[in-house]
Amino acid sequence: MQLRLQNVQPPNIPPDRVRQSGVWGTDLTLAAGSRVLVNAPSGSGKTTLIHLLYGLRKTFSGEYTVDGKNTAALGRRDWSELRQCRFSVVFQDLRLFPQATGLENIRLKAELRPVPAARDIPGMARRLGMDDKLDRPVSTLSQGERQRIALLRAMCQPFDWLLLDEPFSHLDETNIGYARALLMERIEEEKAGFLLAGLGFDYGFPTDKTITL
Amino acid sequence: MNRLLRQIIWRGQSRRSFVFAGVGFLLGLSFLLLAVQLYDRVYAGIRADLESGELSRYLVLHKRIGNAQVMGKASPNFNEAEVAEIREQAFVQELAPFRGNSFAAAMTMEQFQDMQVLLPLESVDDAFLDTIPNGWSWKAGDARIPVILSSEFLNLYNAVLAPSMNYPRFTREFIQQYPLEILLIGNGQKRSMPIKVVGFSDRILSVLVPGEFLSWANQEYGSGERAEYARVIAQVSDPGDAALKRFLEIKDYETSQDALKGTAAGALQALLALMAFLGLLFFALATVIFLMAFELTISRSRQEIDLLIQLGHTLPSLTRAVAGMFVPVVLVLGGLSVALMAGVFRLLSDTISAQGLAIEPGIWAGVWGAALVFLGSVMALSLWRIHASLVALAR
Repeated sequence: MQLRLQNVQPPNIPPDRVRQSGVWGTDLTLAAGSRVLVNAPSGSGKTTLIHLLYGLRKTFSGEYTVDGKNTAALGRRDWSELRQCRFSVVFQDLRLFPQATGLENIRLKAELRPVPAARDIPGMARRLGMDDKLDRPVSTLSQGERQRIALLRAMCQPFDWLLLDEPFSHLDETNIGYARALLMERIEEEKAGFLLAGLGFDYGFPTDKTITL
Repeated sequence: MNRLLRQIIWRGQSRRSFVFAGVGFLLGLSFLLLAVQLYDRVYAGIRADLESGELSRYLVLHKRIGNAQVMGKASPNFNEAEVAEIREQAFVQELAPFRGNSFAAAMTMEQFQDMQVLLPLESVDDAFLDTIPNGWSWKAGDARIPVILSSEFLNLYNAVLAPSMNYPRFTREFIQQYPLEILLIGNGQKRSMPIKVVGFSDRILSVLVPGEFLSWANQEYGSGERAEYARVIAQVSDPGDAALKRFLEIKDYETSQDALKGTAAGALQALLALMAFLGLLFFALATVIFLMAFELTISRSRQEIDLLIQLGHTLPSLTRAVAGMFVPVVLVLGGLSVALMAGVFRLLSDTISAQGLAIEPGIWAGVWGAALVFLGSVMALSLWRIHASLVALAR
């Protein structure tokens, strides 16, 4: 699924940032299956970009097209469809249901469009050291554990693009390695692309494009 | 999935409003259905009778017996002028006076020598009879006198008189076959004549004999024909007519059995209207509370619903999740309402029957139809409102 941003400018990005950006105010095409690292200093609009691509932010000038279709013309149902089987995301603020268990959080996504990989959620969780914490309410988990639940949730659905907004900020190198391995397996399975937004680290992910916000 | 969504949305939500609305819904729907049931099982029958002229369009009028009548200062009977005045009223279509016996008459039986049941004999124009049975004629010289008995008179005889006096009880069929006699006493004479019960009247509470016989007997055994009448029977256009009621009040006239039914019909109509009003009020309030409670639930779960939409959940699936167990609960409440209505209807049946009104047993099919309409309405309205609230939230 090809993504294209043509002269897109969100109103919250200062003009001097827009002038220096490789994304805002330019013509940026992300081909299907691309592996993109977004190098973004704080405040440059990293989360804005993720939200815009995922369809949560709709106030911008310019044109954002998905497979040639202008997203301005997409309705609620179209975005539900895209979020169910074309886009997967790990939000920077995770956006989990704190009172629900880790497993319930994952199932809320996994059961929308079941994929073979999601048949063994405990097995995937085990690889991230989370299998014994799936039944605990998210509110009782540490930030790192919550981050892994959010990663598992993002992997338990079909997707063409995996959008990652600082997904490893609370993980140590070992756990980042486990997560990366699992994420890459799923990306390969889905023949998908990913967009990893961070503060300049690629966390060992194989990327074929780096853009600076 | 739906269960999981319900858990997310309903976690920590108060159900008190829903319980409150549920009770109101149950009461409101029960009232409404009871009104529908009573309308069909009781009121429609009375209405049909009224409209076909079978029932209360015939009113038997008499003067209220007060102190003046008891003391002999006023006549308890209608004179010709008073009969003419009633006849002139706009609500009166036809009118005829009852002529009564001016001699003593008693029913006797050969097998029961000591049996003497005093009979108030009356005659009225044949046009006012429910039906004119075979053998309903008499001319001077005829040995046997045909009689039309009031059904109520026979009931009263069987229920009270027969057991208290140790007289035999009669079925309708039996009394028509049984050799009965009438003892006529007056003017120093006494004569026994055979009588035959040829029919029964539900309309006129009396013992009716042909006019020719009464004229003859009054001459022979009584003081002749009187120029005043204890009762008159009137066919009216509408027994519920306010002008009719006002006339009766002003004149201090009373109506007998049929009028009672007419009055009961009026009272029932008012009762049904009140029940339908209260039922609708409760039902509407309960529906409004349901709608407000759903909106409150959505408002309190705004963050959760927002996140679910972000994750790709659709509004129809979220509508189902917010509605939760509403649809099955409403269906159960509907079933309970019908059961409650049926219970109350059963309790009321005896009271209604005691008022002399016919009541059909069983639940009318229309009650189920009405229940489905009301249940469908509240469910459709609630689901529409939930969906609309979610659409507003998703913007």
